[in-house]
Amino acid sequence: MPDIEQLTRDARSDLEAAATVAELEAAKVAHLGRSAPLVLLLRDIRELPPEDRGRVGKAGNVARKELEALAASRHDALAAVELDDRLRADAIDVTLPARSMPRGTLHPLTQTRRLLEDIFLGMGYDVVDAPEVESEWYGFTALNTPVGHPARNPSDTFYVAGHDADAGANDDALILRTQTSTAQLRAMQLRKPPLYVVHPGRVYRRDDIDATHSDMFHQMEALAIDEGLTLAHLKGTIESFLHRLFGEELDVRLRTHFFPFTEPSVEADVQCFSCRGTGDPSAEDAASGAFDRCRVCRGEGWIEIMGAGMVDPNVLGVVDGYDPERYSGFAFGIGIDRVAMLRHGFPDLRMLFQNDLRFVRQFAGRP
Amino acid sequence: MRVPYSWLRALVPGLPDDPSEVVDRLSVSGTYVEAVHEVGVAGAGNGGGEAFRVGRVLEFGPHPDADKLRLVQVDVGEGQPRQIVCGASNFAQGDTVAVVLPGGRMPDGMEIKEAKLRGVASRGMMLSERELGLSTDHAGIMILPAEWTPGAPLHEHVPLGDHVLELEVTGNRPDCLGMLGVATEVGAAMGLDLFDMSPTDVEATAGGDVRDHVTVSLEAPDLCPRYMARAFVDVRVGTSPLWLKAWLARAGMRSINNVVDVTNYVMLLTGQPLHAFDADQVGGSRIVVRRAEQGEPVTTFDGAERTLTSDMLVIADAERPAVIAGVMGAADVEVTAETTRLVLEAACFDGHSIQGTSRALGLRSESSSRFEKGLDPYSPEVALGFASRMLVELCGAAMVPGTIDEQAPDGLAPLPTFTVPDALAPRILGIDVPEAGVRDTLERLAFTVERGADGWDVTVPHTRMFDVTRPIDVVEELGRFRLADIPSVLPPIVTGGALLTRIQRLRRLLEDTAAGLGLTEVVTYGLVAPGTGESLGNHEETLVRLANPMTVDHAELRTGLFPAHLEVARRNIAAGAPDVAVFEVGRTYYAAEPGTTGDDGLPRFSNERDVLGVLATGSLGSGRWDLDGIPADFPAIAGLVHSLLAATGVEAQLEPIPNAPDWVHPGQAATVRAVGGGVLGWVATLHPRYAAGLGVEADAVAAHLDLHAIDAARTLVPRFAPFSEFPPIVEDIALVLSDGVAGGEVLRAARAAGGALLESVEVFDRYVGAPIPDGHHSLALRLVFRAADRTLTDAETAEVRGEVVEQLVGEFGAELRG
Ligand SMILES: [Zn+2]
Repeated sequence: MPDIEQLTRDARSDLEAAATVAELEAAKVAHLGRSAPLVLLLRDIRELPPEDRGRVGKAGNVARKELEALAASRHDALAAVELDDRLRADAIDVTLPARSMPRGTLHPLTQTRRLLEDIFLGMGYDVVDAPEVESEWYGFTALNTPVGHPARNPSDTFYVAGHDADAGANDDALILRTQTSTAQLRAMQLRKPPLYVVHPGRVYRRDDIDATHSDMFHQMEALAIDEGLTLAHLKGTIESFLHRLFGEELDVRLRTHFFPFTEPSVEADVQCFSCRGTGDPSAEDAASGAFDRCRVCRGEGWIEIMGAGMVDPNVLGVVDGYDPERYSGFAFGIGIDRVAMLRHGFPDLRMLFQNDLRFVRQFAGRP
Repeated sequence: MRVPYSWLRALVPGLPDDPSEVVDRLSVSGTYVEAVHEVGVAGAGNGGGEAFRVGRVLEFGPHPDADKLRLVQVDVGEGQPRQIVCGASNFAQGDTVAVVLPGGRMPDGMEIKEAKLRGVASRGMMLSERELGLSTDHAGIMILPAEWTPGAPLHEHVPLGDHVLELEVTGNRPDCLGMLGVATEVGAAMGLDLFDMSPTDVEATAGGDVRDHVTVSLEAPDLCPRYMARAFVDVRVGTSPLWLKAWLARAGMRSINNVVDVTNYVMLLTGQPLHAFDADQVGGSRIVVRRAEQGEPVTTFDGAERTLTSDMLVIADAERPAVIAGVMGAADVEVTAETTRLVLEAACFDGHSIQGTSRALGLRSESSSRFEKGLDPYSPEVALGFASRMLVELCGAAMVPGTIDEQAPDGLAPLPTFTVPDALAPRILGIDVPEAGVRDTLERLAFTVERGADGWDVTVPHTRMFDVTRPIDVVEELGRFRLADIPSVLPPIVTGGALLTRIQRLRRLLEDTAAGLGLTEVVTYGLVAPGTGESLGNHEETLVRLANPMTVDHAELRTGLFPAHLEVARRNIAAGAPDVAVFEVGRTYYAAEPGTTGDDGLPRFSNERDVLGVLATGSLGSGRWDLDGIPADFPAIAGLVHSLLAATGVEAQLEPIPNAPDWVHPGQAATVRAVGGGVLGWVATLHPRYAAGLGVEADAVAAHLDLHAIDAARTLVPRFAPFSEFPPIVEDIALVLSDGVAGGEVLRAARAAGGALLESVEVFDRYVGAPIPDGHHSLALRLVFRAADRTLTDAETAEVRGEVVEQLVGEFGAELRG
């Protein structure tokens, strides 16, 4: 009769000695397989004398259970080591370029336009649309810009061929609008006060294209008409808007200006976000020695940013339901291209429309 | 407008030495100071410039070693004369001259040092007017009045150093094109009184009457509402005093002679241009204010021969035009050194007419740039008074009694006078302006103000009569000096939730999706080269063309984005980036019939459509450094189009374009249509010839989708649709089809035939080659069956599958493979 203790010792020793899952499996077959001595002993237990059967059977089963448990735990341990080894062998040079997925970028004008839209959406202004080919009436007459005003002239404004008879003095002549203010009239015609709208869009002017001029650029117009609106509301709105756009801590100042469709008219300046109003060059620029004053504001400390004013009674009077005795309001316009240039710091307006992808793709991630 | 600060200080005596506060206040109150230039001798009169002295020539002799130099002994108040070596020869013993001593710094920044000139010590320099920036005269050194004391600082007599304020004057403020207007603004902004300019006219001391010297006939009163003239005799034409030259120079004008300088000075002072004629050259002693003859020639003062048209106003004598009114005079009536008898004109011309003439002739002058703003008819008499006094005082002239004053038949436009209700200023400005403040501001601005029962009765000064005509305009006058006092308040907006329009929301969705799919956004010009629209197959009548393009390549509004996108590709390929995949949401424009209205019921003057344009060449997703990118071919861009539309919830199908335009690949062009709906746009490989014509040799694929069409096809708020809890059954079939059969049609037919139990049909392979016969291909379809309420049995799916196959065999002559 085999010595169970000896068999167990041998088996334990082989199972523990196995260094790989394969060796362990071999030891398992040898000691716990169908023809292993211990297994055969238990299978043939009836061949033993009856008085031995109970003792041997019990001892054999205990031994087998112990060995099976040992084999299982050894398997887990060896398998874990082998998996780790395998994973180590799969190591990747993580510093190599990744397999990047295609990535597109929104144009800086789109990003800036959305930022402006979102600020005003947050303040409760609807965003409206308006056409770009307009009549002289919408473009000038209704905006209190009389015949003879310099802007209302084929030297400054594009006229549509075949619709340019008596250009400059014909309400029905067709123009490419020179400002988004045309949307004021259309918004007023569509809704009754209170009216709070903005309109971003394209405008055209007969300017030579250079670093700061273009025959096409983008503006956003804002218009608020309600009972009781004053210049104080205009000031508060402009401040709020410019704070969100350029920084909460910057000063804003209004300067008197002239626009035919607002009275009083102002221009708004925001304190330079680069030099904080000092006019000094940035630390980098100063160190380079190439600049003796702030490049963003040209040393002025202020950045001229938008035209604004209280809607002229003559404009209110154009549309029924906007009695200037009852309603007042304000309007302003801001150049989207210019804001994009200021925010991103590129030097030439033409870059926006040349679309070198190295330019556009610099501006990923916003807003 | 260039404003010498020393001149401004003479008009507003209380101003500080340093102009910075004036600059800030003027900028805020409406006359923006674009720049402040420091001119002349730095700090002269403010503790600097002491090296510049009055000197007297005691004696002079030749330089021992240089013929052209003189050794001069100059008394500069030091007891001992200084020896100065000088190259000029226009002075004599006893002349008073301007000297700079060593240590003085010239206006150009150069420091004067003791020097040896050809071996002889020179301890200073004698100065010309040009060297001091007083005029362009450099014929010799300047000779000063004999009564000036040697050794006196030169700045006591001459404004040596100055600041020049460069003002941006808005179109409504021609009054600020005159120093008096600017001074009035400064007085109001600073709370300072103006210098008393009286007497503002002079006594006539000559005999006779102005009509003995000239008569005026006003034949075009619509273009000249007022023409005034005076006559002067015994005029002595000469040079102007230095202070006058200095102020003219700093204001940007050249000194000509004392008479012309006086007219220019008074123009700079009042904003009202004047013109002085040599009375002896005025033919027939007659001035006719008339329209020019068509084609009438005139040789202007600058020597140019110009041809006039009949809408231009001229001041003519009995024979020919003497002046293009308000723009420029003719050479032969100008004041010269020989002139002794003057006619002085002060007139009011129609601004639009002057502007038109100036534009048509390409001729701008200090005079035309003022007149074109529209000057008032009262300023001529003011300017005439100042100029008369100066001609008498500076040019020795005697004024002839009488003033010619021809006016349009309906007289001079009256000064606006109206009542400003008390409630208006607070209603617009948001602040109360106390009575004393209203009175102070308006009176400083030269308004006549009287307190009425419920408001202010005001009369507007003549220099502002076209700008301030209504109560609201007076409110601006009050507001613009109080902008800093106005509080910041947000409006109480009660319009409810703010939104983008549907198209704007769709635009954002498409922009984000396109960028997410790897396309880079571009923005291109709306104006394109002439012929672009026609080259794309548009009829000429449908295009919007410019009557007055600026450049030849920006002459009509675009009807498509891809020509510009090809240019983007060309530029980037040239820059070494062959993989270009771009998009733009932009507007296209077509002519509209008269009377067209938009969806909102308002007039539309063109049909403007917002379009998403996509263009790609090279490969997509070039970021996989160790693998090839996906070629930017037709299927790839068609896939992008499907993905873009899927993001908007619109399912699309592509259909062949039977007669594709010649700018697309004849075999790779499709209309994009919403399933069961309208046309959304197109996708096509561009014809290689067309692309090459715009500089792109590589294959390029483009797509256009109309945002309005997408919006019409989309469901803004999709409704929930239940989906099955039961497993799908997938079966593949392969069909042999003739090559003429469109795969899209096969899919559509299969879907229709499969009914409710066929969840989807997709193509997963297309094979050409043996054993498939020529002219045929094999199309492998994956059919997915599923029911909403049970697991389908094999028998059920076999039945549906059979119906699909039967339909495809019957409709397309398909043969089932395998
Ligand atoms: Zn700055």
